[in-house]
Amino acid sequence: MTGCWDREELDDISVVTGMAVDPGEEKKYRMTVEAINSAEFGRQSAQGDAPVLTYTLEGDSLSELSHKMNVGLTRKLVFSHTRVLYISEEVAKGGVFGFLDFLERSGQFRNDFSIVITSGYPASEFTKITYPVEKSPSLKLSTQINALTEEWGGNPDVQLYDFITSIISKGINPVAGMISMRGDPEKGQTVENNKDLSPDALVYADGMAVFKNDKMVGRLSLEETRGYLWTKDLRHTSLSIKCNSETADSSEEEFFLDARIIRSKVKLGAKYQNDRPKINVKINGEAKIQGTQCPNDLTKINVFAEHEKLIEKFIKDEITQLIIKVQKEYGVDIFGFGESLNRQDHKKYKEVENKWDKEFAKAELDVKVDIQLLRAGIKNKSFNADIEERNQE
Amino acid sequence: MSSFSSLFTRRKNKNRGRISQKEIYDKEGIPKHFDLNLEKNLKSMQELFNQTSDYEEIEIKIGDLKGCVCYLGTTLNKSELNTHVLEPLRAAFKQPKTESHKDIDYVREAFFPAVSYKYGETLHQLVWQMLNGYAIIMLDQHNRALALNIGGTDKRSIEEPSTQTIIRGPKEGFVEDINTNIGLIRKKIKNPRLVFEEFNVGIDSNTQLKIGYMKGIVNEDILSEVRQRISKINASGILDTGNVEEFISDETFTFFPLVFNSERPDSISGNILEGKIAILLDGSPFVLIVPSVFTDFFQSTEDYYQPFFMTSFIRIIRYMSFMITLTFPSLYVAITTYHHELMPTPLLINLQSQREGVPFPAVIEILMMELTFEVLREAGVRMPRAVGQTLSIVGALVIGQAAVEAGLVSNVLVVVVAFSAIASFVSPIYNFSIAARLIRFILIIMAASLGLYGILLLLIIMVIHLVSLRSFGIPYLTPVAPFKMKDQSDIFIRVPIWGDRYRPTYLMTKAPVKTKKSPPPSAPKQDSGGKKENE
Repeated sequence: MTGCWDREELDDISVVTGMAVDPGEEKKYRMTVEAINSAEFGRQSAQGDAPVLTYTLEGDSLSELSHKMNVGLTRKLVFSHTRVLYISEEVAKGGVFGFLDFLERSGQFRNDFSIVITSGYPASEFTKITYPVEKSPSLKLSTQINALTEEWGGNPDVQLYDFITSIISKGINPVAGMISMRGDPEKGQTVENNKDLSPDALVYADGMAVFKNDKMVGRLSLEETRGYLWTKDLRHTSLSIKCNSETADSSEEEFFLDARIIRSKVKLGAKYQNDRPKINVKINGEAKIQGTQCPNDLTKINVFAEHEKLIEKFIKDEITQLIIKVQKEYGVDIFGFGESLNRQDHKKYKEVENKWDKEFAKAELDVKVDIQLLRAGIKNKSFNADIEERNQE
Repeated sequence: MSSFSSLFTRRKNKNRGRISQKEIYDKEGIPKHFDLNLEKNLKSMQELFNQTSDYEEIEIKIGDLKGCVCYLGTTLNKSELNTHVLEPLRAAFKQPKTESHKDIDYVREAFFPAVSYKYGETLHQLVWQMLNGYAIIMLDQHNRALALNIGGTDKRSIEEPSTQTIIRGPKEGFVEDINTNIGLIRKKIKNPRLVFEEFNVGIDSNTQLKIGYMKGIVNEDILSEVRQRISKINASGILDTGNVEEFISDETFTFFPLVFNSERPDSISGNILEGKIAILLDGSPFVLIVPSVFTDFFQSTEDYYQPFFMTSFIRIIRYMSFMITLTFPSLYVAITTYHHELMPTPLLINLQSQREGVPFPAVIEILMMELTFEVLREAGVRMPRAVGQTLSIVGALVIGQAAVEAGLVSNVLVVVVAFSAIASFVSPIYNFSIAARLIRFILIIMAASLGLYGILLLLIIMVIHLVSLRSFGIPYLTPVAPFKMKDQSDIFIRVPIWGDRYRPTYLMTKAPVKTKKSPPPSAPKQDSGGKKENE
């Protein structure tokens, strides 16, 4: 219940938008918070000062540290607007259970912030890289991750709630997006970084991390991340598919078909056949052609059918490769086949629940893709075809 | 010493200043009858009017019969009196003496055939008629007097209502004269079943009050309740229907008005046709309607003159505005001081950047601004028209800009206060927004001490209170709670007029069906129209 004792005027608080966790030198963790200097965000009050301030402290628990930050920062910190939690790779490999419990239990945090694993640099560095459009590094990253997930699908966009439920369930293992940095972090920490057309330091999405329970066990590249997202109802993505792959010899110029997936829906299934699990992925989707370098006549129905098949094959290969890689290299079920087995054959799942990851590693894979090519943009023939016709004449 | 003692005896002497019983009634309580002696009658009249300066007497002679015209000079039109009464009487003086002159009926027929009249047989009747602007003609040796209605003093002409303006629809509004007002209603409802009953309220002011209703439609139980409550009005003076409202309301200790008022004849006529009862008071351009429910105050007569889609949209806007007036400032206080997590991050940062350097807590800030606005509003209503410009300039500058620039309040707060203030003007009945305006302040204080929890708590209490209210026995929240499906056609949305066939069921009128079912208007059949064109 709220009461006068909880009253916090807006000018008595400091809004935290990002939190970074690194391994501590003397104690267990090093926590960095990114607090907003709101005056810089006002239309009239902005003076070109630092838009955010960061402060780092070492301690054994995030809970203690979150209340100890006033050692260096003014005003009471409010964590409810934390948008990103940065976890450094070392911490992730050692297990994240120790502080996730605090984040979920305290009630100070909304559970919809993104969890990202940082690679290359300490997590704290990522809270300090300025960017001209979004002044707060964490707000920038949060928007960036959302847009990427929406437009192309290079980040699993994992939030606290998803992460924790994945840890709890034995039929699925958690994943988290990874970010990396290019450029000089020292220079990126200044407001002057905003004045360069090509910023001195830039944070970019860099695939994703694979967890076994609460410990990170490996990573996947950006392209493989999309492969993973196919199994999570990928919203939109764009594909470049070689259209002369079967007939062409290597000397010929390569042509690509540019397809945009507008919608995709996935069904995961798992069942046992002769004591060997069989997992299947069934994808339904719709696509449109956004551009073509191929000489095919798009007004013909059979060309559409061929293109559909090309797209289906491309997607199928991408998913198959990824699942086989995960099976072989990491042996953890990050897709949730165990969960769907649980739903489809609860008895069998209970038998194998404790060794599901091993079972998953030896599972037989079946991927089915059904894509419908809806239209070819706002024109039929490519003007390439017109040029070729003229050349022939 | 005498003034001191009068202070103490004052309360006991209830009839001080009133027409004393002794003068009009005799010992048995029967009204004092007219005396045959003219001198005696004139003397008692003079006593009754306490030598007031506007009491006037003119001695006349009809043949050899002595008589007297007496009247209150301020209640009638003197030039009319001259042409219609005094001129004919001058002629009467010259007439030959005949016996028939002695009959007062003959006198009236001979000299004032075109003037409306009444006969008075008791002093009480005559006093009453004189107070209402009649000229009294008393003749010697007659036990009746003739009261002639000359026509009253000047009255305001019919103008457009100033408080309930509309864009489309009749532009006439009620005036202070009750008979003009009844005429305006009769112009709208030409029906012999439209009845006006007369009452007399105010022990000292003796104000004329009339209730109007449709016989055969109105619920008789409610009608007799209205009659009873009006007859119970116990006041020295009733000067406006506002006074009546306080006497007849079911509940006095509430912020919500339980009686609807309007200065528009079309609104009142519409309500009478629905089966409600109008209460008119002489001297007040505002007419009351009972019983009235919560949703009545969100309806304007214009709702029925514009397309029903627009009406439905506007109605929803009105309900929303009511909630905005009520809760917007308190939500601002609660969310910014207790529940930061409820705001989207960019909004929080924006609000925070505006509040940097504001020296007061949000609640003080908002109370300050709301009070300033209320002061401005009150000043705007009371001040002389000529200085209106000054007020609006000073008000806008002081409140809007200077306070923000001086850093006393934040920008967004001015937006919140202004928005809730503008929303309070949306209600078509001005006095309904009073409820929202008052409760708003309590809500702000609740929000500042208990956050959203406090707001919810007070809103729940408010709803409980609303549910307990009644207007002439009708639950105030009908037809929403208790829910009446048939009445929903004209509450939150309005269906087309031809589809709205029932009178409000909660009134339990004698004629629940307004119109018979008929097909909606439509274009003539295609083929007949088409053929004509081809020919």
